[in-house]
Amino acid sequence: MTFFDVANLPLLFILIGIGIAIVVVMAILSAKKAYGRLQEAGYSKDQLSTVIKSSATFSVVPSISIVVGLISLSALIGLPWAWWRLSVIGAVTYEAYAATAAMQAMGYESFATASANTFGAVMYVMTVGIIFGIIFLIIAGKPIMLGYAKQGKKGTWGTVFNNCFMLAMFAALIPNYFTQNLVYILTFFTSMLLGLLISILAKKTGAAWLNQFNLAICLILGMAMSVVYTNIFA
Amino acid sequence: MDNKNNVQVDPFINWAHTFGRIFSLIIVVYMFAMPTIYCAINNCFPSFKEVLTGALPLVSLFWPIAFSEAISYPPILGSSSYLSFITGNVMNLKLPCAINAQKLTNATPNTPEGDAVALLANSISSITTMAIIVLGMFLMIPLQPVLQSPAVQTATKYMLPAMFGCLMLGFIMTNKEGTWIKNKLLIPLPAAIISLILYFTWSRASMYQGVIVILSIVLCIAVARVLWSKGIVKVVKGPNGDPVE
Repeated sequence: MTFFDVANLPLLFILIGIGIAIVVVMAILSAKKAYGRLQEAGYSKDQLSTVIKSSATFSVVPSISIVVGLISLSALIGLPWAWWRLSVIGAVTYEAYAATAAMQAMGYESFATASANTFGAVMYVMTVGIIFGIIFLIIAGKPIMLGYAKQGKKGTWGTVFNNCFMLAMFAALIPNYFTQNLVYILTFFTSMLLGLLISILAKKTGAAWLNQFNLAICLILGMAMSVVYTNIFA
Repeated sequence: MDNKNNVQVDPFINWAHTFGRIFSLIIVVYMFAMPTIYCAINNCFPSFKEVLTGALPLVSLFWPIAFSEAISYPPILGSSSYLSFITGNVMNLKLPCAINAQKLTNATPNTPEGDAVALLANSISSITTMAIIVLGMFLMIPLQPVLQSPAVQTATKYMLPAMFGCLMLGFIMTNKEGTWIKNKLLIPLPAAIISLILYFTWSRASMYQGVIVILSIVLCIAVARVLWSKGIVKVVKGPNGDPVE
């Protein structure tokens, strides 16, 4: 049997479907519990509905980019395993690299000519390579997070401390865009400007609902403008 | 009471960690069980040596990155870290989603409410993503020409700056209706300058963003502590910046 003889069998779709179902159950139960906790804390249904709508709409565009990755990855390793890898702990940049590393370890240069055992190796190798983060969280996640939370309870310093993480995140990630190319920089500032315009519009017109779609709108229009900038400057 | 920290832990936080750990463990076991079942049925087991040869370069490259991400993202993601790490795409989807939801609700990260908001947002985000991937599988053939067109490929490449530009705005603009932090933007300044230098001088810096985030967190906390103790950075309330004790 060859690589693609085993890579697209219905049984694999079923096994993966079961795995995805477990994750969906986890997400539904988590959402239900978090919703209840926030209601207890005094958050209104409107506020929680805003979070739900905003999170869902915002997630659409990045999810479509994952589907773009699914198309290219499924050409390499078959549709079912690409579906699993991009639904659970996956990121397309890692997956293609990991699959190729496994194939080369089996002594092949192309998936088209690889053996069925290579597909077995691909499944194991991709799993081993990506698993560390979640195992680390199972072991050390709670003590680490409780340690952070303990610091965050210390009066006004606690308030400043809690804000440090978000600020640190921006300080670490955003400078990267300024070292890429002009389109990155223009796209970043376009998105920022659009966000500002939408906030002003929401305030002036009283259309507060606009704020819940602010990020999704900025994302779509920002990405659209990146195509325009690329055509002008590339 | 939590024995290790000797502090009262919010019951929701306790639940979220226990639940997150149990489900994470189930997923980890299933991730290994699935190839084992499949290889047994199809008689396609690789040898241990072959798996080791393929996995070693990945482990040496990606485990340190995973470690740095598992240390640096949880203060914002809170107990949604378990679900976020299971469903992946943390930096380009789960983290922005949590930040956006916390801004919309004025919930502070690293508090039980901030934690619950992040969990709600990322649960919805995970369900949305999994549904769209399934939809994408069914519509793959008709959608392929559109999704692989040069315009969509270009737009996808610039997704992160389009996302973080808008998110960054929320941190530049200060809502002065409740309590707020005066001179907040001084805190990340040194870390941003150092990050910029690293990205300019170290060609692999983008790959090790998790490490840069850890360094940035340490530096921001140190800078914040100094500025807070000198009274330059302080928590105030209202449009006039009245002091908060």
